[in-house]
Amino acid sequence: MRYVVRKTLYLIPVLIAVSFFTFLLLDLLPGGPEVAILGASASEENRAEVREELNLDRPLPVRYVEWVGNAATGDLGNSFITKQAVTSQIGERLGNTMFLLIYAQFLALAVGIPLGILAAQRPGGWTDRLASGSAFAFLAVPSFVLAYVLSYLFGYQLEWFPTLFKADARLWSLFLPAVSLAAAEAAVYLRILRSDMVSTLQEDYIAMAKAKGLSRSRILMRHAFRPSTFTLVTIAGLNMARLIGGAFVIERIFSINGIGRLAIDSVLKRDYLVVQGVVLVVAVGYVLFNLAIDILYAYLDPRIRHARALA
Amino acid sequence: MNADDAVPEPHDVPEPHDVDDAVGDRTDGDADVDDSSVPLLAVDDLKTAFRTERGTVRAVDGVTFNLERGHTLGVVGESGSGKTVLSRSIMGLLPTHNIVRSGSVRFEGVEMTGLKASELRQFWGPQMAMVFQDPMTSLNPVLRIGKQITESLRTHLDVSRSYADETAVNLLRSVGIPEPERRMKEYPHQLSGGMRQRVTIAVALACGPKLLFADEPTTALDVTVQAQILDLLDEQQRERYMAMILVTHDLGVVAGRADEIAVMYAGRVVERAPTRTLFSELRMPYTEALVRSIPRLANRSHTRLPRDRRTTTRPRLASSRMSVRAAVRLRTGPLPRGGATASDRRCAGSRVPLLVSGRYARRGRRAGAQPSRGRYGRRGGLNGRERDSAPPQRRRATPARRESRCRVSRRAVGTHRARRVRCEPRRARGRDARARG
Repeated sequence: MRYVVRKTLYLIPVLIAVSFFTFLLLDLLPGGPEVAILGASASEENRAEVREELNLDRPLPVRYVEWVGNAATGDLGNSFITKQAVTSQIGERLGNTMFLLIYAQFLALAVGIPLGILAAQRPGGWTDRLASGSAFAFLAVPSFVLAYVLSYLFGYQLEWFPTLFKADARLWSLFLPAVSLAAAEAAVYLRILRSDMVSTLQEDYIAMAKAKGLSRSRILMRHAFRPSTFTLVTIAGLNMARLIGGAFVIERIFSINGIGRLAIDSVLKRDYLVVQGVVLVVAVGYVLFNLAIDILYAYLDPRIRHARALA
Repeated sequence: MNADDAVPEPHDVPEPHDVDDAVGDRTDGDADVDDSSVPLLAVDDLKTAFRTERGTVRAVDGVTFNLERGHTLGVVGESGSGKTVLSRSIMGLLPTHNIVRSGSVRFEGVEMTGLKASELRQFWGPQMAMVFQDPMTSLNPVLRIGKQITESLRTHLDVSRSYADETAVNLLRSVGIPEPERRMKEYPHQLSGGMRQRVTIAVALACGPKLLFADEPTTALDVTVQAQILDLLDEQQRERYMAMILVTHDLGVVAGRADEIAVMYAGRVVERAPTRTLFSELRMPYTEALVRSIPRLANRSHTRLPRDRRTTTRPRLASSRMSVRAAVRLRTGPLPRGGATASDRRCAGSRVPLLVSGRYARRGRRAGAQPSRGRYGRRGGLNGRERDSAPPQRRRATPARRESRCRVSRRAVGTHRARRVRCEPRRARGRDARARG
């Protein structure tokens, strides 16, 4: 428990840094919001007027504190262009993206873990070669390519799955996007779990478990699996970033109304506040997810739990 | 243990025993094994070889012995002599692929070598168990200690969880762990090395095995803890009337504890005798070398062990300092028979495997000795040779020479007749000499 509290406290400086750089990033871009709103040909006076209206004339730290303060209460301002509240725009779409990410992550683990265990049982055997070989193939294919192939084959030709997102049948319509995202992840998970498992199976405590006369499946699941998942869990957390990046593209292909599409659209329209909001939400989400991973990690490995508690 | 061991005359050498064969006949097809005339464990001409890319390595090469209930066999030998593989091979714990195993292992008259994995599992725990070398790695880091003890109980004895817990607490107490209830809920990393080894002993004893393998149980432990652990094993063995195979590289460990000692070298039992006899009449030069390498308490501190090249450096050369290729070649090469010197003759029947001597190989060549003698005969002899032959003109051991490395010359390896080992001084030697000169 203390470990969780400590980890959470560590988050505070991280979140401050993340939000500050998010804020700074957009402030540093050439051609501020006033240009986006008024167009390049607007006069200097008009621009100054707009800047004042948007409170852009005040010093940066003041604006930052104000922005963070508002963000904490759930107000990320209103879009310059659509005049809609940024939070509500994100809120509408966040669910879809989250659904897609978790769906993909789940599929990747559901495929990667059993295959990894299977491959590790006999390194160099035919299951191992088959699994590791196909893993390489999937790793080499970019997710958007796979997305088009799947969408053509199973969506257009076979008509098993819809090619476009349907809000009322998310599980169904997000299957192909999730698979496209998950394929490469599953391959990574498979290979990581396989190699960790192979080395775990060499450990003395596995020989000891064997000498106790335990069954093969019990040794694999109770003794070998958990100590082999440390790297896998860490990588799964870090992979969220890749998945989010992938989701931005996949959301366009399947026209999923998610955060990624919102971000791309806002970037193109220079809708600064929206972009800022999206980046903030994604960054915070990523940090929180990795906090969850850290906690899971401690659950899996008692040594971490105690080492940190003592420190 | 064995009838013929009472007579120490020709020290036991690992040729197939007639006695064992007789036992084999008697046990044919009897399932009710509680015949007290059947030894608890009968190992007959057990061979275990690993198939490697460079050839077959015979890790255990024709080992034969019997072990009675309540007795202890000490298996002694240097690293790589096959002690650990022997114990794992008897138990059947080795993986199946790339391993060739032959010979017979009978446990209470039941032949174990042909059993399926699922049948073997019935033996592991209630019949035989193993304490591993390194307690730091032989307990699962992510499982509670209680769990690791109770799971074998639950698997084999079909007992309730609460009963298993109770048994585990008692076990922990009996192996000398204070506050066993609290320890049950802890993880291995919260215990010291000695404590952990006590736990692994408790794990091994959980199902009340009749035979315990202790594979260098004290090697990884602090010296002060070693005696405690050995005493614990002793005590448990006596209480349970359990047979034990105590594997170690330290003759001192088995000296007071084993009924019989088997000395292994290169996969073979080169000498086997009741403990007292073994120490009172050192026959085998290799055993002698091992005995001499035990540090003496009476010596002043920082006293060096007698520096006998053939006893101290040679075994190491043969096992660890040679390239894998050379080691494999040696192990797979023809075995030496016969020899020129008295000690060699003594060992002739025991088929001592090849030992490598840089100096002797070289000296032999220079002296124009016949190659076969020079390589096999002399090498077979080990330190016994020294006493029998006139002291060779020793050159002073310069630091550089001490570091000289033994290598199997590539050319020689290629030819059939020669597994010639040549001692090649480090390159630096010439330079050193010049600098000194």
